[in-house]
Amino acid sequence: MALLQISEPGQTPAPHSRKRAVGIDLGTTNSLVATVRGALAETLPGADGQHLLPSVVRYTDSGVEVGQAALAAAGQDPLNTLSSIKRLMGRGVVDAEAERLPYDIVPGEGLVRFQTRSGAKTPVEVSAEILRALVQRARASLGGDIDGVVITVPAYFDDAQRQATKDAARLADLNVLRLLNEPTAAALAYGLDRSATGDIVVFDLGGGTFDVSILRLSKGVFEVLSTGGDTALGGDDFDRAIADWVLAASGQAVGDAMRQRGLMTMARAAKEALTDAAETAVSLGDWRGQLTRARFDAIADPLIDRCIKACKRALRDAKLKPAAIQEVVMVGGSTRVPRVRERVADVFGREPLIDIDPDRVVAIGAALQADVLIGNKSGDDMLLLDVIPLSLGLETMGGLTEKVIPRNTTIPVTVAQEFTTYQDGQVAMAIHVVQGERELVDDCRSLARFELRGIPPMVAGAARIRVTFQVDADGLLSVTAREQTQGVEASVQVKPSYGLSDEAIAGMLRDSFACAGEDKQLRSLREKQVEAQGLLQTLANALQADGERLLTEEEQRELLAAMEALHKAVAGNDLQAISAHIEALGQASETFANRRMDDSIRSALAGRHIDQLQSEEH
Amino acid sequence: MQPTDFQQDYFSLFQFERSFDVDTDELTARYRRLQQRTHPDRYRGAGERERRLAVQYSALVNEAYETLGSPVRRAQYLLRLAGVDASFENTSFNDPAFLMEQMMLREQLAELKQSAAPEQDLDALAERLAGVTTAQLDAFRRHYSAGDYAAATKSVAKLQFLDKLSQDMAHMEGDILDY
Repeated sequence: MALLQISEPGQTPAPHSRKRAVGIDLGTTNSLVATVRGALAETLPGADGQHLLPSVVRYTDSGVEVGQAALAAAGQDPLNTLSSIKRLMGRGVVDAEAERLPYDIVPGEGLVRFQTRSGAKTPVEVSAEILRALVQRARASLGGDIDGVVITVPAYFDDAQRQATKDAARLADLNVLRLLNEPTAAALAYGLDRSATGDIVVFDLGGGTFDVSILRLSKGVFEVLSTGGDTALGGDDFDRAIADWVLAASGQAVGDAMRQRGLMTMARAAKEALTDAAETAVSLGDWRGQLTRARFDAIADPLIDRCIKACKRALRDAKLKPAAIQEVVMVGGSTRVPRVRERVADVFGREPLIDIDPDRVVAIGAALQADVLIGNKSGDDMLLLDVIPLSLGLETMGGLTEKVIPRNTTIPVTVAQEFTTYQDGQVAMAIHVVQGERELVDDCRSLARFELRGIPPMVAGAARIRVTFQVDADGLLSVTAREQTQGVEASVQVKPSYGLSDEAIAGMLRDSFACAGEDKQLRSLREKQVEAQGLLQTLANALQADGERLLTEEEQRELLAAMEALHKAVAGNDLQAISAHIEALGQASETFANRRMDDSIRSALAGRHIDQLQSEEH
Repeated sequence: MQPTDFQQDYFSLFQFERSFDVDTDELTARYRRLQQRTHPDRYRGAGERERRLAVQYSALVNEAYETLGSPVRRAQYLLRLAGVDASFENTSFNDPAFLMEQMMLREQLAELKQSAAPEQDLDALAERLAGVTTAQLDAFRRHYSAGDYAAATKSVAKLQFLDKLSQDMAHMEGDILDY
């Protein structure tokens, strides 16, 4: 029996050519880019043949260097060579000072900036350089422009950090399909979305950070149940522990910085050797010794204990017992340490998954998801549901936090809260949004301050201002406000605490276009034309499918007229006119869009037997 | 056919009868199917407005799922749909036996720290709390289906007490088991 083909709402049923989509692991130490070729996802090497691109950016007299070249120059040009910048995404000057990075920090409020020979640079701009280098690599490898990217972020990244990541992508002129949580990407790489229902643990022990996440998979739906970890625990600590043991065993002192570096390099080499060997030789000055696997295990155990504790805490947050875990995915170079694998296997009572290179597994998963979102895999119904990692709250009287959206709430989420005025005739109100679990505002992360203006003057306590907080699928917050008693829309002015305003980004974009010698006007026009054509195509398909069923003849006529008007505008070169007609068509089609969505919701539950028939057919 | 249709009744969104008894497996199954249709990831190729609409619908589906999935929130929601003022902070109930039981449970919780076998004691306490909660849920179901919303409101207030206790117990569990 031939089945009717019904396209997913919002997607064009027309056959499309394969698009170029990549997944990007924008890491603290190293970054990678991957894509799907044939049926397999693979990371892409640079011109030097290396897949890992060191996340290091150097501003030189002639331009910008990214990666190995920048890393090699770090010693001789420290102030212009920026690394580990991921730790400062969406962060302020105080945070940067706490990280004790050897850079020239520009004093001031808001997002931290570093003074370089090319001027003051924010972490967003530095990250944009890394993204550009990765996309350049992908373009060369795939032979054309990249249509869309998925960028991974740690599951615990707060709104400011996610926003900063997305801003970096905007600066690099990328079409971001989705910000994807790193553990989710790792699980996708192993194809766990296609296996049966189950709860999985992603254990990510990198160079300087440890993250654990518990995910629930069911019929293509991914939920992050909980996350935990330690931002100051990683492979470097194992090296340090070995170095400390060598110092104690040899009875020698650390000595100067040079000797210290040598000691750390040796410790690292010893650690790596012990992945396969039962023992390895170590030395310091004229002292010679042997480090056995058993000794290293004992040295590493206190550090691994911290990982295990975080795992147990994450399990408790997810309300699960270790035995309930179906799979454990290992991510990060430090999971190569045999003792780590052993202890993890012990806790969860099963061998962890280690088949995919733990350095590349996140990028590979991101590439798979990019391929789905760009539409290369039609009929794939994988859906990722994420949660917000930290509670969103508001500052109330006395510097206390009131939670508006608790952590681990599934996103997207919309929560409305009502406020009232404090004084007679009050026409404005300031709201401070924070993120974190602590009671005091000062112990939480300041995200943004909003000013509501245009409140109609009334006696104190009479106004009813409904503020709506919305967190989208990428975990990004937006706020709208409305005065209820008189129905007045209050305007919201966003001042991100540690981010860039839209104007600042627009300015940076202008600068970068100026550098590239591109005609901004022409470029904007072309982009608008493409957007308009996409909109027209989507609507035409929707009308064909549901127009007669969901709209009256009158409504259909109006919609067609608005489409015709946009169609005419697109043929011309008037940017303003095209924008205006896009907006007008958007309004004209709103009712249709709502009805299609309602209809889709009804049929989602009513059409169950059809789904079953289809799955039997496959 | 406005989106507000669904906002006004989560039960109709999930195509369930308005009732305290919800098949949670079926709820989850329907939730997933609804998210497949509404999630913004499904609208990557669509225009800006349609994507925004998807965010709104998807958020509504999440909110409805959370509400119907938790017995206490479901009970509160049913009362709200029935037009009962849901300001439970002001609900007083004169039930010395319930309060006494609460105090005993709280005392047991406080004593856990000195317990020789905290894990077993914790499990025992959790079981007891679950029993009291079930009894209270049954009471709500009875009152609600009989249309006695005043009594049902008191049951919900008690359920909130128990919910708070259960949260405190979860915190305590973390302290005692040290992870």
